[in-house]
Amino acid sequence: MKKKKMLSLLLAAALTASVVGCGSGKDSAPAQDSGSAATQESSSGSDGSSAAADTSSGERVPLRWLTTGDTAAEVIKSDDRIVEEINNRLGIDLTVEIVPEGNTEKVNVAMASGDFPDIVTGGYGTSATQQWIDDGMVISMNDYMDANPSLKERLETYEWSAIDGSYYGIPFITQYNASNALIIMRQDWLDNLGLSYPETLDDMKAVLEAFTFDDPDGNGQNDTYGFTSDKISSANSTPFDWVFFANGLKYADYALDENDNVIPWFEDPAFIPSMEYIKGLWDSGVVGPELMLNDSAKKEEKFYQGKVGSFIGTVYRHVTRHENSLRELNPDGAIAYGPAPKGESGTFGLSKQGKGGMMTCITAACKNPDKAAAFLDLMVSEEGNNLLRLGIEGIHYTMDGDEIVFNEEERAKDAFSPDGWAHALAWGSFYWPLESNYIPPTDPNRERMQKSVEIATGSQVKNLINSRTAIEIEKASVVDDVFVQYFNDMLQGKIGIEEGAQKLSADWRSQGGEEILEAVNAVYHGN
Amino acid sequence: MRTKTVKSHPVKHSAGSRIFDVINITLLILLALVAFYPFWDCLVVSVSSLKSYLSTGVHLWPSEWSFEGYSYMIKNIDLWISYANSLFITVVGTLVNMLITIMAAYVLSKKDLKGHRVLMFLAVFTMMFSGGIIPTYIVVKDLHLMNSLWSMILPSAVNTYNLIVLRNFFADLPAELEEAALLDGCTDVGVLFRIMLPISKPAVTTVTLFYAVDHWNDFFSAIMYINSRAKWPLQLFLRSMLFENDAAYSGSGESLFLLGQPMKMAAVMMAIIPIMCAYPFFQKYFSKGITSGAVKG
Repeated sequence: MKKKKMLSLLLAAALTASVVGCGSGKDSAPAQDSGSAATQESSSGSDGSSAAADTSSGERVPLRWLTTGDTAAEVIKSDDRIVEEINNRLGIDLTVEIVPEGNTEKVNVAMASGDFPDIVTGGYGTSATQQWIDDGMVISMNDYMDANPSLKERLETYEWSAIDGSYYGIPFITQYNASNALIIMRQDWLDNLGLSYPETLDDMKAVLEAFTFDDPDGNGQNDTYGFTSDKISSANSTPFDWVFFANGLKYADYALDENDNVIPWFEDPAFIPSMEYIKGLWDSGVVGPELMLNDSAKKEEKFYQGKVGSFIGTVYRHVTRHENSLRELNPDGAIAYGPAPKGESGTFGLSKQGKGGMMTCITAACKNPDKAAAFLDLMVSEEGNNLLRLGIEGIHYTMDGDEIVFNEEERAKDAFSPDGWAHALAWGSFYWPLESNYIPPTDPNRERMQKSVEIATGSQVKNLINSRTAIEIEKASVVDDVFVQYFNDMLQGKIGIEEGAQKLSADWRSQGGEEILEAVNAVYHGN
Repeated sequence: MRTKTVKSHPVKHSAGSRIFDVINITLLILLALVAFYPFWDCLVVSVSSLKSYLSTGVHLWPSEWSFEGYSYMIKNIDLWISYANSLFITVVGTLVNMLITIMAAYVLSKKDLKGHRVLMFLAVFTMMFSGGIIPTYIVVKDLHLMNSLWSMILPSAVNTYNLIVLRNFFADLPAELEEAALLDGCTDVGVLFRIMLPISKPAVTTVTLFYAVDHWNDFFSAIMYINSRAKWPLQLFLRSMLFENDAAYSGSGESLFLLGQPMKMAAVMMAIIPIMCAYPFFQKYFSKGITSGAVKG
């Protein structure tokens, strides 16, 4: 028996040794032409190996930034002049590692396995980032705020994100100040029917009915529907949010009862009349029956195909795309969009202010947190913003009076996206162009796109509570399932609306909702 | 020349058995169609224009041909880089897999090997209890394989299931063959490569195909261990294209997603055609290979 054991141990050791031998031999060659790393220093850990890099790059301080980035951004090459410019300004030697597909899981695994970069960007308001904070893997930025005014300003914009007064990361909440969602309609159908873009819930109903029953495309067949959208995926986003807001729902995330306590939004008095309106639409058959199956691409397709006259779609850069795609099959097609329909008391809303996004932190393993903070400061500053959007004057652009002239040829050599869009470092981690309604000054459709964002942002509803509590993160999927189940049952008449609303509240509360309410009430009253 | 006439004696089928045949064949054809249609749909959409794609719900034949998707993809340098990476991973990876698996399986098939039960147990143990994502990540990192194509080859060098298939196959081969070869002066290694392997073609090709398809389709280890876009395998490139809509919807860059379904389908076709071409060559061994370990003849 002993012999057997020894033998297996020996063999195991031999196998390990052979694999190690293979690994170190092959590793050095492919690591050299690393495309997304800005310098040759590859992805070895921050322990030991970075000290070696320190001496080789003179006085420059090596900084490794692991980020989700954005799949739409261009690849950063090793001779990128923007990275070089940042390195020169700050005396750093920056390595950017952008994980494939913006996959936050990869970032979480790297952190959990002790592979700490100096700066890390992960998902905001997720259990993983919560753990980084709880376990002391990331440091408080408070000590570095005074030396870095832009960082300070940015963090104070998100004052609610501080935990006991400490800022552990720069949140970047998507759709925080801006929205790009609107109800998009067929303008040519409205014209055919002699109608205009609906302003109230009653108008909306009339338009959807006309789209469905009055042959808006004039083909003599009853083959159209009024409205479609994405299937309902969570309590946070239903295809009919606009109905609730029109009926007086005030906030995007929760509601308040008469005693000023936070309650789930579906306990608001607006819920039942809204559900009745929605059920009315559903029963009259003006909503595309495939609503429960739709994803973003499918709903758009139905609109382009002329099967449905309106949908909740994205505007901003997508305005021309919708129009062009629609005209593939309907050469005379035109689109209309406007503020969400109003209720009797004049309230309206469509999209909800975001609560999730990214968070960029300095890790506890960072040897030069002051340099890391200086880098973050530059990234969120006006100066850095311009550097990433416009580039270096004289190389990437020139000024012709007040007008910016891009040198696309030079920009293509570095990681700028074509047609005047920003450098890869600008994408995803700190801002998206939408947040500041940025369209390159050279874009011919600029005004129209910017106008669409203004309208969409006007229909955006703010949150009651900005932060996400730990318990919400933990319980989100369970309580969401409860909501989705009841919502669908009520819509399809499996359960009456009043009864459904009561049971929904009871089930939601018993399956984790009470704990959530306790936590958010504490936050609300604490403020 | 005398021709020999062969009288055919058709077996008489009862009505019941004929009805069974009809139903059986119809059902199987339907099943085959269900399996085939998604592929056909994908192929048709990939050669359709956007207009033609939008105008029909079921895509049986393109009403308007367009190879725009393919011509766009062919010009895309990232596609070719990831193609090369995938080819490397598949070819080199499968070679490494086969070399190690064959040698391990052959040795383990020898009943007189001391400790073969322990070794087998150790191998099977990993089938039931694997290290998990984070420990594997640490191993890959500490072996300095991060951001290297080898990270997609070495950590999965042996698949226990395939090892067992091959071991069972080897164990069923007559021991007399080995004895005869040894008597004729063949070495142990010679026995494996000159005698045993040539008569194990069905099993070896089957396992090769399993490994090759696994490598070709692997994207998860690429997500975990590879950052540099220059080292993305094809599947990662493809996935990032197909799932880019999230990014596109958040209001960021101009993406392939915006170019429509035909473009995506063209990319899908380009990714699956190479591995599909491999199937016919393996087909004849395939069913024989997986069953041969199961039934003793």
